[in-house]
Amino acid sequence: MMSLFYLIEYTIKGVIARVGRIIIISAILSIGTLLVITINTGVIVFQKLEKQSLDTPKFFTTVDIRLQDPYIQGTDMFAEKKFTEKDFQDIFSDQRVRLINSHIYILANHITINGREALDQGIIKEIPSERGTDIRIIEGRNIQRNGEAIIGEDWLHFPSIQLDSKDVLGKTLSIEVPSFSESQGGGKYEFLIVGIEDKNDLDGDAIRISDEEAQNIYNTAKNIDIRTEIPRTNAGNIIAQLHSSQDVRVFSKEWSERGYYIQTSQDTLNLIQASYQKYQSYIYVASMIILIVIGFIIFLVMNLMVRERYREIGIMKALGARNSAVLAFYLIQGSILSLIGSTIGSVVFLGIIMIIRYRFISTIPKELSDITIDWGIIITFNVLFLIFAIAGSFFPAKKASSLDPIKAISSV
Amino acid sequence: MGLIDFMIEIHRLYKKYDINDRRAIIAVIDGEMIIPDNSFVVIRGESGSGKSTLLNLLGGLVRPTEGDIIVNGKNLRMLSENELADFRNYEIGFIFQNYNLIPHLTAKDNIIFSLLFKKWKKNKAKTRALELLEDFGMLERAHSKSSIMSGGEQQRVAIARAIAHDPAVILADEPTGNLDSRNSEEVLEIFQELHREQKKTIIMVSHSDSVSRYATLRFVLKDGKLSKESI
Repeated sequence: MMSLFYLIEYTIKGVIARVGRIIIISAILSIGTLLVITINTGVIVFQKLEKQSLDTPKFFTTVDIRLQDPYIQGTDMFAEKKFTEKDFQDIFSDQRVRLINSHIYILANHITINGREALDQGIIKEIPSERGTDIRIIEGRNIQRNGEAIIGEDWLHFPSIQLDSKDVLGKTLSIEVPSFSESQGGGKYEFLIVGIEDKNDLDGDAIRISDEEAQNIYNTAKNIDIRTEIPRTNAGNIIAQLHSSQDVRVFSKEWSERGYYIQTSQDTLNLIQASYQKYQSYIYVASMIILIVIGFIIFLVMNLMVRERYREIGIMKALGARNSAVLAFYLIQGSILSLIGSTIGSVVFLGIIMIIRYRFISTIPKELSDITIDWGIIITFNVLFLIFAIAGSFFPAKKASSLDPIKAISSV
Repeated sequence: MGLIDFMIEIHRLYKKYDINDRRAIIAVIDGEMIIPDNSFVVIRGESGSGKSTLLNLLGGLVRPTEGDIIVNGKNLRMLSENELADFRNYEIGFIFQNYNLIPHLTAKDNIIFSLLFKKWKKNKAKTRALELLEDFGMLERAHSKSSIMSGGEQQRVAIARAIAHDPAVILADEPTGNLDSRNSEEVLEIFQELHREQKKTIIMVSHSDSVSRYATLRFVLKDGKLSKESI
């Protein structure tokens, strides 16, 4: 057997003579590595987010009681059931429950001003059926509840109250929240509307009037308030915290029997995992396709490189090289080319990652920028590409090495 | 090597060359050659008579489809792949009409490359390569790639490569076929020198009469029959 040192030296010389091919292989490998790693990064982000969810304290004792409001745009709550007064009382009086959050949507579908319909006043231009309107109140002042001023409470969600005209600015809005939820803030509210926003324009560029102007209007126009009567309540969802998984099971069963759609944290997790598994299977399929395509391209390039060197193989054989030496020569060539290509490909990939991290750090999600580079995947794929390269070299080299030297020399 | 006689026996050789699935060319060669050590043998014949085929058979570059070719008692047809490779590696040096150098290697590396398969140490191979290039007046071209050399220069490198491992027998297939008359003369003088001073046995195929004047033995191949010519 010839000296391995010689073999590598002459192989490198042969490889250097084919810089164009190295560039092609490097480009292929870098694109492949980039694609596969990028896809895999998606998996890691997903796993990380999932883990964050699982790490949330008491995650598994949270229950989301979802209630249907068919008029809330974008909602996926399709249960027919609506909250009743008794439901609220039951939930709020349930000792097992600590409310975390609630989104109870109140539709201002019957608005009066000074006891007359708002539409008649020309202030509310249109109230389409029961859907609420196009203007969101984003800021109110002089909030009073049952005649008493409220300071520093933010649980009244103004954006839920939608009106249809910018003319409501500076008007006083009165809302009566049903008394069954008095313990949660029910009662009669009055406040001056000082900020509104088009619901289709949620960039925070709200229309506001100055404090001075608002106060002036309040003082002089107090008698023209907008009164909202709430004939019924449609609720979104209530997120409750319970003490134990056992409570979750019992509570969920009770409320399911009452016709509500209950989604526990476990349900949420199952949904996430189901979509994750689906996503993961897509990723595996995509990775496999990329691998196969890239492997096939590498195979073809290597195949071509050996084929175009048939004459050289013939010369080697004429000079006395054994078939095993010819094979070894071209397998080493394939390996060296693949390693050079993989190294350049990986460096290009890492360069791109670095640029993304440090140049565009503020524009990418934190989870993505925090992702550590998975060296295991890089090494695995480089090894796979190496196998493809060796296989791509092996078959034509095997064939060429079995030819008569003269046939190989004259085959070009 | 130190052979007394390089004896070649040929018994009704057939070599079939497949052109495609349906067509094939069959070369038939019959005869006997006994070549004493330190001979300069020229094999002549018309174009297509099978001269190159005979030389390739003698050099173990191709195997006969049928028949036996016995070189120094070894039946080349019966040798394994590795034994035949070793025969080419150690026992002969082969020179082609179109040089067959590796284009991306330099003159020096082409010679060293041939010694790869002969288990030479690198320093020894390098020294030998430079020594041969100097002998052939090619030292200044040692680091030039063969692809940019003239035909005469390439053929000198090819000869240097063929004799680098000091074989007893050198087989040359129309070595001056692609050269002009001046380069042909220079190359033939190299062969003459190898024959006279280094006592090499040279077997050369040529259709040129000018080559014949160097021969100590002449054979002619005609209608598949190899016969000795008187000088």
